[in-house]
Amino acid sequence: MKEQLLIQACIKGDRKAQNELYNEFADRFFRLCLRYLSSEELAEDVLVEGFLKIFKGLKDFQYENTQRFQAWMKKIMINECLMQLRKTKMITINLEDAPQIMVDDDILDHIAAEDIYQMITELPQGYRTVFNLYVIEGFKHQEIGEMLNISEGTSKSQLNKAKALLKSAITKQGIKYG
Amino acid sequence: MDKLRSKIENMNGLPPNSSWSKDQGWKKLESRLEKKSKRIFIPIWSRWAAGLILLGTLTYLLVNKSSEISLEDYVLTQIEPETSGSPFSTANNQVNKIDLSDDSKKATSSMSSPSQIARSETASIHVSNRALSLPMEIPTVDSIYRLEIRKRPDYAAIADLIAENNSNEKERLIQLKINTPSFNKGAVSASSLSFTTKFQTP
Repeated sequence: MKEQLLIQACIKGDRKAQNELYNEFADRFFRLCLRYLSSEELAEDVLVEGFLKIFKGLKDFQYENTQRFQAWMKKIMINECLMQLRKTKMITINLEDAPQIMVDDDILDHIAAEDIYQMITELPQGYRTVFNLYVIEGFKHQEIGEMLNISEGTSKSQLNKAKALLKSAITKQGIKYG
Repeated sequence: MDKLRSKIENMNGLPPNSSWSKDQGWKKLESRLEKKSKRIFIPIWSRWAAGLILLGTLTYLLVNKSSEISLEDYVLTQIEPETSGSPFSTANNQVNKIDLSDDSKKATSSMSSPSQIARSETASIHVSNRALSLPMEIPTVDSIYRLEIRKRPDYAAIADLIAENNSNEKERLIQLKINTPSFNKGAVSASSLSFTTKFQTP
């Protein structure tokens, strides 16, 4: 079904269309949720909540193109993840200024996707959240600070720590460059 | 970092060690969607109607409340009252209740009307918009029974009028016309109430 028609059918509550949209994006969004949350069970709960919000919000969504549509859904999912983290008080940000560690970003760029994904999910929650928001989602430190209620500097230092930990993990495990 | 971003974003399928079931996730979502669709649907017009009813009720209550006049606002002065042991009765449809005190020298006349006036021994009266009751000393034949209602704090007279009609020696009709103010949305306007009482001399 064409995306716009699918959206219209979802708005009307067509269960088949809703299932089609779910099947199309469930894996991708589950992965996204799992990048933020510590367990598959939590990730599933957030995924379900996110889809409910998507179905509810479709009637107000102005469709322009598929990229915008997917970005809109992704934003909903990220917000749901952050809400869950706040609700369960899972974000603990160490406010101590981290020593500046120079990390070669290129190293991370050359790791195989599945390996880096796995390493991200193993990062401490605070580092992981900032790393996800900055590196993967592309938010600025100022925006992250507002989202997590931390200062811009804290966001930067958390990112730095995350990168340092990833680098250390790469060195330790001797992960091959992809 | 851009390479890393696109690598992560373009990952398809579930992580290799994942035990998550997409179908199970759909069942969970579907049951939540079912629950939502089973919720009682209340049409918009009925919500509006309920809102209007609520608004009407609140307005009614507010208007009624605003038209109540406090006990302390009025003073009733009884001029030339004469007492006797006459039983007190009424001859007006508006009057629906007469209470005689034990010594038969005082009577309370309650009437269905837009206002209520109750007088105590201290000559205070209560005016409200529901019923009128007037405890009074029973006048003798030929007495002129005059009521004067004044409003505090300036004691401006509102109204008083007594008309007497002697039908016979033992039965008399006293007609009272009392103008009481009514308060509505902050504005004061006079409303006239009249009732007739009949009393008999022993």
